[in-house]
Amino acid sequence: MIDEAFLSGDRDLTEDDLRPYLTPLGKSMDLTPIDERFEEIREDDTIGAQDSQIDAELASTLHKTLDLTRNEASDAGLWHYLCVVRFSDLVHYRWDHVYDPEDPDNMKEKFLKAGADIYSNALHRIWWAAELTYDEAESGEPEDRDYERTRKVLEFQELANDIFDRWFARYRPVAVSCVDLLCHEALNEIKEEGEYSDPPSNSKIASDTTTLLREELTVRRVEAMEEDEIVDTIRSLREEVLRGEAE
Amino acid sequence: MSVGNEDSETDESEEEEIQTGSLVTQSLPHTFERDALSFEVDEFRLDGVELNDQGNLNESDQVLSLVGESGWDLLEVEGTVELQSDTIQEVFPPEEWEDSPGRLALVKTNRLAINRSREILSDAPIEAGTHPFEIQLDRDEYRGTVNLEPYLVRSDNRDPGPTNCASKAGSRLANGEPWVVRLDEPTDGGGLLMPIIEDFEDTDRLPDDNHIHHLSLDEPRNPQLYLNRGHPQVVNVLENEGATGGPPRLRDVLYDYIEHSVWTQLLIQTARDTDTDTGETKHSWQDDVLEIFIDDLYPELDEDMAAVQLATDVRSVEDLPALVQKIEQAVHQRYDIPQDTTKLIEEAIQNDN
Repeated sequence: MIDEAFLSGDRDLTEDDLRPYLTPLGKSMDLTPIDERFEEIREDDTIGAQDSQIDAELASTLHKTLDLTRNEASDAGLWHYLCVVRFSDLVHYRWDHVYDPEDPDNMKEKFLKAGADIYSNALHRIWWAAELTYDEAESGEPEDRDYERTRKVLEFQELANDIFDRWFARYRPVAVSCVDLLCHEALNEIKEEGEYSDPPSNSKIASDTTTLLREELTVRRVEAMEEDEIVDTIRSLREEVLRGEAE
Repeated sequence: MSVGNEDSETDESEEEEIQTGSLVTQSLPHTFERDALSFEVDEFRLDGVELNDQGNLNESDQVLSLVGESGWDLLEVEGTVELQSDTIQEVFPPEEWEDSPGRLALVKTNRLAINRSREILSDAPIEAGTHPFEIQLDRDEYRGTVNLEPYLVRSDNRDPGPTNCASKAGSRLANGEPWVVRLDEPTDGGGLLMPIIEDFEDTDRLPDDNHIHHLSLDEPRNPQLYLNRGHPQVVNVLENEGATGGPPRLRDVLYDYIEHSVWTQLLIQTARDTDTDTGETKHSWQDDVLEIFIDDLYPELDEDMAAVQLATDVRSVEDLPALVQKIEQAVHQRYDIPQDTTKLIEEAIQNDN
C-alpha cells in the first residue's frame, strides 16, 4: 500500500482504505490546531516547502495537541496513521525532496518508521524532539509550556540529527544540555567573545562534540550523573573542539 | 571479578577470557566489577496490592512478566542493593577507601517508550552495606520491557594515578544483575514469528523437503517463518495448544530447535543491517531483536555503542568467531532446552511404563 504512487504523492490513502488495519487508540483528540498551524506555515513567505524551519515552527503545536503519554507515543501504529492518512500532505510538503523512485526507503521511513527510532518518521521525530526538550510550566497546563529549546534544536537540523540519532538523547538531561550548549545562540555568543582565533563552524562543533560525548558516555552511566556533571562534561568536550584539540 | 586491570595479578579465569578474545575485557579502560552488586527485590505491588496470581514471576531469572495483565496504573518495586567492601577496594584507589566518592543508583531503561531514569540510593561518601529502595513504574510511561539495573559510579573527578581505577565523575565502577519487567509482548509488526504452513515441495522459494522450517528474509521488512506441510505429523505437533502430555512436550522441544535457528539468523541479519557509525538499524523489527539480545551480547556497553560494536564485529574476520559464540550463548538463554527435553523424556518414560 505504501507504494510508489503513494510515496510520489500521486495517490492518497484514506481511513477506508486502511480500515482492516486500524485499531482505536482509545482516546479522542482535536487535531485541527495542527491543520491550522500547517496552513499558517504554508502561507508564510519566509518558510519554503521542504525547509527544516517547518519542524521548528510546527513542534509546539504538534506536541501540545498530541497530548500523549509515553506509552501512547511509543505505539508506532499511531504515527503511521498520522503520517499516512491524517497528515500525508504535511509529510509530503516537508519531505518530498528525499523521494527517489530508485531508492524509495528514505521516503518510506518518513511515513512508516517510529518506535525507538526518533530520527526518521516525519511527525514522530518532531514530537519526541519536543518531548525531550520542552520545559514544563508551573501551572502544569500544556498551553503554558516553554518550547524555546525545542525551536532552537529544530532550527539547527545538523544538531537535531546529531542529538536525536543517538541513544544518549533518550535521557532528557543530556538532550537538554546538548541543546543549551550547542545551539546557534550559545555558539555564536562564545565566538563573539573572541577567545578562539579560528573556531570551527557551528555544524562542526555540534557534530564533533556530540561524537566525543557518545564515546565519553560509553564508560559512564549517564543516568547516575547529576545535571551539573553532565553540563561540565559537554562543556569540556566543546572546549576541546573549539580549540581544535579534538581529532 | 575485576576486568581490564593489567597491573594487578589476574587469576586464571581472567587470563582465559583474554585469550579467547572476549570483548568484555577490552570494553572499559578502568576497573569495573561486573555483577558485584547484589540486587534483591523483596516485593512487587500493583496499585498498592502485593502480587498474588497476577503476572508471572521468575525469581531465579529475575524476570517479572505482566504481559496480559491490564487495569493497573502503578507498579511498585521494593528491595535492596548490597555493596560489599571488597568492591569498594577494587574500584577506588586506596586513598579513597575511606569516604569513597561513589554514588549508587538504580537505573530504569525502557527502549520503546524512550524512557531512561534513575533513583539515587546513596550518594557520596558511599559506604558498604545494604541500601534499600522503593521505585514506581507508572503504566502510562512505559511500553514493552523495562530493565532495572543497579550501578555504582564515581561521584567526582580525580587526577589519574598509578592504579587502573576510574577518574571521571559518572564512570561505571560496578553493576548488578538486572531485573526485567515485561509489560507488553514485543512489537514486531504483527507476528514476526507467526508461521505460514506450506508444502515446501510445491514452490521454488522454499528449500527442499529435508527442512521442517524456513525463515525467509526475501522481504527484508517482514521476515516470515514457514513450516513444511510436507511433514504433517511434525506440523500437527507444532500446532498443539496443550500444556501437558507428550505432544506439547515434543512441541516445546521442536520450537526450541526452530527458535534457535531463527533467532540466530535474525540476529546476524540485524547485525549486518546495523550502521557501523550510528548503530541504527534498517527495519523496525531489528530494534526489537536488539532490545532482546543486546544486553546479553555486550553487557559492558551502552546500548548505542553496543549496536555499533555488533555491526563492527559482524564485519570483522577476526572478531566474527567470538561474536558467533556470543550469539549462540545469548540465543540459548531464550529457552530452556534441558528442562524441555527432560520433560519430554519423562513423558516418554511414563508412557512406556
